[in-house]
Amino acid sequence: MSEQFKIIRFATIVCLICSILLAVVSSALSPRQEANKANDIKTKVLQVFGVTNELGKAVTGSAEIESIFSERITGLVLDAEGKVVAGKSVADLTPEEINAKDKATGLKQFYPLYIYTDPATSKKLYAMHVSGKGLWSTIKGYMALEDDLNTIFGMVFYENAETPGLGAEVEKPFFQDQFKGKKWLDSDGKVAEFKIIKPGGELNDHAVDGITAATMTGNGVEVFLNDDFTVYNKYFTQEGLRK
Amino acid sequence: MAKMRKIVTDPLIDNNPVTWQVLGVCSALAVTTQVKTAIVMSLALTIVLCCSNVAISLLRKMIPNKIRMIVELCVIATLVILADQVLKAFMYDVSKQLSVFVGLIITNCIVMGRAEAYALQNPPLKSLLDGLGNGLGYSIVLILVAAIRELFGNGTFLGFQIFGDWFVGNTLMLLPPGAFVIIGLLIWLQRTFISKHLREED
Repeated sequence: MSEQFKIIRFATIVCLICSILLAVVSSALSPRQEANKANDIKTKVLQVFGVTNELGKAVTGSAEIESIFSERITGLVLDAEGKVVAGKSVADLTPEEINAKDKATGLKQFYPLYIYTDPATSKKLYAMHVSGKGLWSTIKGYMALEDDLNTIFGMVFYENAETPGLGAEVEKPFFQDQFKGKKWLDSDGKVAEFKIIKPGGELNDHAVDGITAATMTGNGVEVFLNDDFTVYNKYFTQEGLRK
Repeated sequence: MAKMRKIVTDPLIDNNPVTWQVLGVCSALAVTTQVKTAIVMSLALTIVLCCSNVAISLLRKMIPNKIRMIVELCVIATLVILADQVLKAFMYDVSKQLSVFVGLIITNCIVMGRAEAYALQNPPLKSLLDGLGNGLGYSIVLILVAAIRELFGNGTFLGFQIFGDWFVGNTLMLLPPGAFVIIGLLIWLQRTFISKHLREED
C-alpha cells in the first residue's frame, strides 16, 4: 500500500469521525438551543417594555416569562406593507420567521408588533422588531414606543456579531439608554429621519451618539431603524392609531 | 509520582503558558472584563486542551507525519465546536457574552502548541496531565486579570458590589489596553520576583 493511500485513508477516517460526532451532538442539542433562543426573545421583549420582577431585576425564569407574556402582551404580525397578516400571532412566531426575508423583494416577511398593557394603569406600550445589516452581521433588536407612537420608550439590541469591543457595544446600556425619550416625529407631525451621529455632533430629538470606532455599525443601524419604522408607521397611520 | 505532579504544577506558575511563554494572550485580553466569563472561558479551554491532548496522544503513532498539523487542527476544531454547542444549549447567556471567543479557542496557540510539543511525543495519561496543568495555568492568569479588571472597572466581583457608591469605575480597566497593562505587570512581577531562578538560568 502506497504512502499516499495511507494518508488519504487516515484523513478520510478522521474527517468522518469528526463530522459524525458533530452531526449527532448538534441534532441532539438543537431543540434546547432553539428553546433558549425563543425564551431569549421573550426576555428581550419584556426588557424593552421595562418589565422587572419584585426585586427590580430582569425576569429570567421561563415559567414567569410565559405567564407575564400571556397575561399582559398581545400583538399582531404585519407584512412589509404594514397590513396585518391573518393567522399569525406574535407568541408563536419563531426566531427564524421573525428574520425571514421575502426572496423576491429582499424585505422582511413579518413585522411583529407587541402590545403591552400595564396591569396597574392600563397604559399601552408598543414594541417593534428591528433588524438589518451592520458592518459584519445582522443586528437585531426591539424598540418600544409610548402610546403616542412617537416617543421612544426603550431600545434593546439582542443579537449581533459585530467587532467585539467596538460595534458589538450596541448591546451595551450606554448606547441603548440614549434612545429613551427620543422622538420619531418632528414638530409638524412628519416622520423625521432618525440619525446615529459621530460623537461630538449636534444632538437633537431624532439623533443619538454613535459608538467611537464603530461608524459603519452605526450607519447600518441608522438605515434599518428608519426602514423598519416606515413599515410600522404605515400600519399606525392606516389604522389611525395615532391621536 | 513526583514527576507526574510536576507535569501539572510546572505550567501553573514557573512555566505558565500566558505569563512565561506569552501564548493565548488574545483571549486573555478579550474575555477578562468579568470574572464569570473568564471562569467559563477557562473551563472551556481547559476541557478542550485536556481532550485534544488525549486524542492526539492516542493517535500519535498513527498520524502520518505529513498531515499531522491538519489532523491536530481537525481534532481541536471538532472539540471546540462541541464545547460551543454545549454552552449554547446549557449556558446561553454566557455563550452570548463569550461570542466568537469560544470559537477562537481553535486558534489558541496553547492548544495547538501543547499538541505539537507534548501530546505527539507522550502517552495519553501524561498528555492529559499536561493539558490540565496548562489549562489551569491559563485559568489562573485569566481569572486573576478578570478579578482585577472587574474590581477596579466596575467595583464588583462576580457581579456582587464590593466598593460603595463613592467608587468611580476606571474605564481603562474595562478596555482592552487595561488588560495589556495588567498582563504586562504580571509578567514583570513573575520575571522579577517569583521565577527569578529560571531567568538566571537562561
